[in-house]
Amino acid sequence: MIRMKTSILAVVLALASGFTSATDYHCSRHYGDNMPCAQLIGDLVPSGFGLRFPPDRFEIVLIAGTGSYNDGGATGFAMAGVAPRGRNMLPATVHTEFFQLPAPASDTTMSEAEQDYLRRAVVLSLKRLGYITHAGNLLLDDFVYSTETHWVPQKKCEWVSHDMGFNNVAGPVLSYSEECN
Amino acid sequence: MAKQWIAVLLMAGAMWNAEAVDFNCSGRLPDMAGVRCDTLVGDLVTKRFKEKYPASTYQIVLMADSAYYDDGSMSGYVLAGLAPQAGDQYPDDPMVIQFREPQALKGQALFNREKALIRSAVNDLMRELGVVAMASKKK
Repeated sequence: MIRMKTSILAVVLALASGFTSATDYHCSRHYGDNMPCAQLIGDLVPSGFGLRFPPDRFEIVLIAGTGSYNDGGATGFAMAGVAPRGRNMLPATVHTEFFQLPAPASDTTMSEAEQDYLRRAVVLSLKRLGYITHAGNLLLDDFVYSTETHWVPQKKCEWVSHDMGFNNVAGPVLSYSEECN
Repeated sequence: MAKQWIAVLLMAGAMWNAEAVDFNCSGRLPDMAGVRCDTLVGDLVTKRFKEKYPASTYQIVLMADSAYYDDGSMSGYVLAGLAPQAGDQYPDDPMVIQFREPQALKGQALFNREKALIRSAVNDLMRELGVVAMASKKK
């Protein structure tokens, strides 16, 4: 009997360690600068994320860009979402953050803004999926302008967009359809 | 006789389709509801592009979005790139143009602004891919 209990305990422990090791995540960055994902958003991804979105099948996708103007100001955008891994897929649901920087905007301030807004986009994206860390909650305390867009292909080149608007408060549901070539 | 007519119709249909699908294009364009990619940028897609990046394999991906700020200004971006035809993929090395306006643009004005920038990005893309139209010979 003791041996059986030991075996059951061993199986439970093995399963638990298996689940624990699955609490990783994969992340890919596109455009923008190249700070490693783990360094950028590691504190925003809770340990349970990898259980539902195994890193061998899903990835957190980050897309960002900044541009500067002749008057010294700058503007940029940052997107985050979750997509199947390894297919270069655009996430079906994307959180997009926009920002403007007054002059003088340097490469450093633009890069910092990009990182900051990517983090905000990640927090909102993960929050929608039911995951939030303490660091994420602190970020949400700030006012954030965000658009949340669901892209649901109905047929080829037809989709539905649901723009969440300010502070993730639901806005109008917009439908778009397009007959493709 | 009927079979011959069916064959002729099938051939005609195939030729019509071949003519219609000479490039693929998909977009995520929340400010441009209902717009067709081919009418948006079709005239900018060069013959060399269509030859080098056949519609069976590649597509042009267009993206655009914008946001408004409390001070009445706005900013946004447009993006044009090349991606595999299959799936909803992001392009590897797209042309990205960002814009800002001290006074928010809405409706047709925003549509026109994004349209102009998307067309500019597609022109840049053709140049980047080395498929700009050959200059016509001077007579």
